[in-house]
Amino acid sequence: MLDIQDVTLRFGANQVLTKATFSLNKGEILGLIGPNGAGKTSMMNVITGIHRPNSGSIRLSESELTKKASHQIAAAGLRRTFQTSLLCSGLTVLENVMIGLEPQSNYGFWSGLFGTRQCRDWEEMAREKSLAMLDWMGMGRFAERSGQSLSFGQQRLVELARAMVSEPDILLLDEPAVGLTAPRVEELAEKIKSIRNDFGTSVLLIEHVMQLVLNACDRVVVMSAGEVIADGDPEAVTADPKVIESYLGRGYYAES
Amino acid sequence: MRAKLLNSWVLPVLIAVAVGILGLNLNPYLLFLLTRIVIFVLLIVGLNVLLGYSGQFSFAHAALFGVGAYTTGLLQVHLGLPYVASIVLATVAVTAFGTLLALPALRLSGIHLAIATLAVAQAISWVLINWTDVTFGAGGFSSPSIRLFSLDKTQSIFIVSLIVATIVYILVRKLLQTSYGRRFVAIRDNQVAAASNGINVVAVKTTAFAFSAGIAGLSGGLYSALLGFVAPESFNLEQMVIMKIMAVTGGLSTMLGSVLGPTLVISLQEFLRDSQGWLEIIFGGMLLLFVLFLPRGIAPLVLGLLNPAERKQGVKDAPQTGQGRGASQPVTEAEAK
Repeated sequence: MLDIQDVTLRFGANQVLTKATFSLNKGEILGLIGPNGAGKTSMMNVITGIHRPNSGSIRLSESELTKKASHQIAAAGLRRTFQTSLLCSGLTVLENVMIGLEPQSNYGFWSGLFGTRQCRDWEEMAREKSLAMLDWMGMGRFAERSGQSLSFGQQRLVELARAMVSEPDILLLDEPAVGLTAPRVEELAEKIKSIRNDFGTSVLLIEHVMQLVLNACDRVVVMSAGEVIADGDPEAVTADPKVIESYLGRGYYAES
Repeated sequence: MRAKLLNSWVLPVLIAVAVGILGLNLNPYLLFLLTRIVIFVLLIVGLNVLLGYSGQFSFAHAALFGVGAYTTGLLQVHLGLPYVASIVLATVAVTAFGTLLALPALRLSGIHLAIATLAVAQAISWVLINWTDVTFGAGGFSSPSIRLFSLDKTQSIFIVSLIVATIVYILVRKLLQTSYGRRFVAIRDNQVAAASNGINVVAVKTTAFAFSAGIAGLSGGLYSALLGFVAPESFNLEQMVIMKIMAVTGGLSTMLGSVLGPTLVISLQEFLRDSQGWLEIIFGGMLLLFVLFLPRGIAPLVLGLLNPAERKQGVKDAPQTGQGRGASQPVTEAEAK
């Protein structure tokens, strides 16, 4: 469904990604793990059009994404969250979620200015859909609050609602478990599985918290120094000597 | 209930009617001042869409205001067009000019955008002064006024400006509650997040710039009829600074601020008219104090008095009132659970 082929990215002399190749299949939850600086977030930024790769191709259902701008990629059905929550502080929680539906908005500027029926109908639909998504995330009661007034973990759920409200084909999550306690990580794993099961959305999950990766992911890709060094089911990958050497550390099995 | 009243078109219309009745009973000089306030309210409503809601910095606004005034006046003087046709054409022309200006400029941001728009403002100023065959140069020219029914010139332009400003105010407030309003705030608050959610950042910036420019052109057209005399110094960089002071003191990202800012600044200008030397110092000091102690301007204070619930709940009611777009109050841990 999402095919990343030989993607290379350089910032000046700094080689960030080297011929990275992997794919995300339909309905799959794929973990992307690796040490800090391995190029995971850069990979996500390349997929979402924030960085342009120096070479390689990224295809979403046969359509090439590397030539498209971020907003076009989002409109094509690929949404993401960020490592640090990026809610708009000037909007309420509900309005932040409604932002996720903007590419589907069907009325023009003049229609908005004069408040035509088409505008009012779409706004009503967007409001209801966004509220339903907030409820699904368990955040409905905060709809009218400012995004900034929520705790960090709650902001991440709102961001997730914003990414999911358009029911995208693909969702990219950048370290969603940062700062969460173990029981919350369990809840998040269930949420991610529900996203796949209820909406049919394929998920690419960048994560350091192995509890979440092992619990939620069908398959895991490991990156190190900009290259893909392993790709397979979670048990096989975590037993791979290369992965233990470069990322998990020799104590991983002793601890777990 | 209060939020609903604040949000409806009824309140602005009632206030406009009250201001209209008051204005028609003022002496000509005070009416001139009041009309100036009304026209600047219209101008700052437009500037606020760009500067407050969309977070884009422009130094070209006073110049665009000037292009509106010059185009309206010159179309009447050179081509003999009627006032209404001239102001409509001027508004369309300034919107088009603003769009053209926006296309290259808005690929920039922050200080680079400020410098690019500053350069455009200076270029416009240069044209107004030096293209003497058309613009009559530094000396300016007499711009025709309008007469409505049995009203005198100032009363006529006052009524027209008041009606236009009220309609634009209501429409803009409505617009800011739609998808367009959210897009403006989204590109101001976080362009990466906006783009990642499918918002075309350049298109939204261009829309904000063009719309804001159009309102500046419209205000300029009204201003030319009020002044009766159009000259370059009414639209120079000093005027740009005063516009920014109006926007900031009133309250960026609030509709009410667009009304309060010009009212405060023009009243103060008038109050200090006899002590010209002090005016700049007082404006400078005022701006500094506002930036330090009231960065959101006086509008949130006034809104807090009008609607105590809003003060307690942060922005909870604000979007419905089309007002605050920035306040926040932390949620306590107990509430969060």
